[in-house]
Amino acid sequence: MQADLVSLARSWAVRIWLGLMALQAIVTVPSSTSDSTAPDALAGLLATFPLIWSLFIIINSSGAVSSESGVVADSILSKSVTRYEYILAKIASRLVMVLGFFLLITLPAAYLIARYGIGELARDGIVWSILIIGMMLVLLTSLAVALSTLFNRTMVAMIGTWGVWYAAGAITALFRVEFLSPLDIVDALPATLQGDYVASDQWRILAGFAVASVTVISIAVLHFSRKDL
Amino acid sequence: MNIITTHNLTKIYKNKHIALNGANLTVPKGTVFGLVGPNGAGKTTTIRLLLGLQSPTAGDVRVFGERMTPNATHLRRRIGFLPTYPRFPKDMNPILYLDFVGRIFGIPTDVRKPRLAALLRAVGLLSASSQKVQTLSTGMTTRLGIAASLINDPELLIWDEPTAGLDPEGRKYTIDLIQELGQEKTILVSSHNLADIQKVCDYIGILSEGKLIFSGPVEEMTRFTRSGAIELELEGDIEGLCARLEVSPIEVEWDRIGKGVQLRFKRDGTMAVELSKVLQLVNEAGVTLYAIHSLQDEMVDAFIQLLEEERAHGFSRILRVENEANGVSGIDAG
Repeated sequence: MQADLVSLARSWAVRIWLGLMALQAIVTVPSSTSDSTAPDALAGLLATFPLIWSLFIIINSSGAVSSESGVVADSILSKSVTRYEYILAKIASRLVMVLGFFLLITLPAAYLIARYGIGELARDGIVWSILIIGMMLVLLTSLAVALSTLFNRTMVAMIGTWGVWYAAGAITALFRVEFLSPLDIVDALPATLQGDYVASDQWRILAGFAVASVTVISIAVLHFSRKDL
Repeated sequence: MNIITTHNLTKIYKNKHIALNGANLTVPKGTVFGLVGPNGAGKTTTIRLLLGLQSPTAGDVRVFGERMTPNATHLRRRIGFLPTYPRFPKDMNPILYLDFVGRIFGIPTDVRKPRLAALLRAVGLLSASSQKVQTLSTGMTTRLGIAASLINDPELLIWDEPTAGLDPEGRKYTIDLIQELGQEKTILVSSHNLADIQKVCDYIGILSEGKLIFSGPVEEMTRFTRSGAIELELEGDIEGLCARLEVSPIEVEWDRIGKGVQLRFKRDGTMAVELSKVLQLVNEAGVTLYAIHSLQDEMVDAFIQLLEEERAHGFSRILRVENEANGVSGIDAG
């Protein structure tokens, strides 16, 4: 995991992504004090993670295993590393990166918008919104790494993850879990940030993403533990 | 004691390709075992199964007396693996890579650091130790792979085609190293070229189209391949020489090939005498002799063919072999 994090830190794609996110936060925070209300500004900032920055998450996570398909057997799994250790380290390092960046950008921005922005923000609403978007990103990252174990080609894993993520509305409708639809959640963010929500619904969303993430990770681990290298 | 034992080891990929078919392999402790076969014979598949990188379709693998599985890290901790054309993390240099492998094996820093430095020196990569691995030549990459396979001071070395892509100097270095390491470790080394590794091996296993057709001591193997075949590289009136051979009483079978003649002597120990007579004829024919080549490799091919023809005699033999399932020794190993 440590080696993977060092490798990610050296990646220019990751650095550029971090820079763009920081730039967006720098632009968003002052806007909350003038032409935009604080809930809309913070909702807009949070919404970019599942809608726009998801593309960077997919790019950085879909190659976690598939891009190393030759190296992993020669240099890692032929040594004293179990399949579980390897795949869990891959998922963990991606989650640390994604959640680390997410919190690094949103926590200071949320504080500044709440402190200086125009309009009411509920503290609990901010916590719920950050938690739910964070869990959504956990699911997306897990999904990307899982597909990276299924496919030997990074591009296929990338397109697969992208397809599943952008068809999430249809998929959630198919399984009758519309409350997990990313678009519906993003639409509800301004209201949630103002405290206009039902706590049980928020718990349900959080639990739904957690269950989906654990399921995806379990499938990935199970598949990878039996995969021929 | 056997370090590696496989029982009826079979690997079929996606129900489409039989890569290995009922191999019963035994590698005794302290030996150098050569796994030989042409490309696609199943050598790499066998090695990947031995390391738990792949799971067998049928049969099992035991290493150090325990069953090898994808998660048997305690067994792999005692193995040093060198893959064919090894691939390393691109953004690392040799020092970082060896340190990384050492950490994976859980070797403490005060042991790991001096050991990696000693290994880099031993494989002659000190001057390239700061270079990114992707910039290393094939020979340097193999030498780094050799160092990585030794970082955990393993009891068993598994080297897959260690001489592949190397120049003659690199091949010699690798063969000499196998000979040296073989004095204290058990080694399984694969190659598609028997001549490359034969002189350093105690045991040989021959794979052909996924079937282990021979497994046993080198002496037993050479008994079959010692047919006294050589090739004379000539220039001049080769046809004239052939005409003389045709009528001479020398006990040799011969074939005219390209710029030379291929000779096959009987196995009764008269080769030196008969060869001296042939050379006398070469001299008399006024032909220039440039070189004498051993035809050991061709003999191995002939050996494989002979065994396969022998095996093709009937299903009863196959059924008998299945019943014998345990242990492999001598011809008809599979």
